[in-house]
Amino acid sequence: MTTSTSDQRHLAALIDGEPGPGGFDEAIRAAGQDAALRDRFERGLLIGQILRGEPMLSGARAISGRVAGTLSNEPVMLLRQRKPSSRVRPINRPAAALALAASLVAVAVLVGPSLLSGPGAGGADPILADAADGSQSVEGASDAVEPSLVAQWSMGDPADSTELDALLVDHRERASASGLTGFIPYAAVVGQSGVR
Amino acid sequence: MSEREIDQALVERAQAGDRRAFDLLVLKYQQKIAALVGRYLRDSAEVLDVTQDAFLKAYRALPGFRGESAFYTWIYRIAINTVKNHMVAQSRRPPGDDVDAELAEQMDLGTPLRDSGTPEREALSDEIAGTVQAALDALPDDLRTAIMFREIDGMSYEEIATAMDCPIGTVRSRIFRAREAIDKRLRPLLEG
Repeated sequence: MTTSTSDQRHLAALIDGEPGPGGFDEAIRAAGQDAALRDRFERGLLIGQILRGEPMLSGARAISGRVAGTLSNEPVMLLRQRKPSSRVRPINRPAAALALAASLVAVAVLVGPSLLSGPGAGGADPILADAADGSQSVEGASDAVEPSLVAQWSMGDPADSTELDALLVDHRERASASGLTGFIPYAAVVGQSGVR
Repeated sequence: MSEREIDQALVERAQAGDRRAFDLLVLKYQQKIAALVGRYLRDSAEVLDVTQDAFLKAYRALPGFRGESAFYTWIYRIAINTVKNHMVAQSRRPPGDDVDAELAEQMDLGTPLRDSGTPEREALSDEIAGTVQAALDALPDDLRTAIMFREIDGMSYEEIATAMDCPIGTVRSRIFRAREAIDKRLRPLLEG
């Protein structure tokens, strides 16, 4: 194989640590293809070592050939590829724990009250439920609820109906003005007053 | 690119499976590592065997090399450990006075190593050194100055260009031609 001057210059620049743009790849390619060029590279390094008065062992020149010969019978060593880790990285652990805790608190706040209200409630107002079926009331509870309060939202009463309509109209007006959404405006307006 | 950056680039190529890159690293450091091993072992055949073993161990350990130290520092330590293990296996007392790798790099391991195997080897080493010196002396001034700035003073192409008041391309060419001229005299001696 004829060694091109260009390849020689790439390897010479590599010896000097100044391969230039693209020169590094070219030097490796050229050295890999041309044994004479590799020898020239080795002699170039040796010249520098001798000029600097560095130790020189004539037999050591054979080491690269011996190493390459041994390695040719071995599988190519590849850098271990990093596998995607199945466990949470340490840096994410606090954030993950916080998110989990927040989720549990949210579930507890939203679901907890309905669970605590008992299986017979079915989400209905316990006061109204008691009024509909006194037999399912907790012992003593029916005595604690005043009949006037139980009947206060009865839509059969024209006065209640009129008052509730007025409250709903008032709520719509305020809710649209406040810009608030969700339960907040409703709760502010339709709160059950204890005194009528 | 600095020396260390070039080595790291070669290491990364070798880690990706490019054996040619590792070959270049061996070519680059075989003399230094053999000289290091030669400080502990007298027999030149043993020196070569242990040096070879050190490079093989380095290659096999290459996937774990993360570049936190220079490649030379890393291979230096592998070589020291290989020598120690070799001496223990031979029932000899291993070296206990490790020289710091970076320090050794700066000091070039003290005095130049002599081929201690045979008188013929010593004579060859002397002849090689003499030939290189004679070839250097025979160079035209501009070529000799350029290669001495580079090899002895360690100056970059840019620094040499400034010092010699010429373009970087001219510096590159002068160093290349100087090496070619020395190599022309050295090659018959090494291949003969």
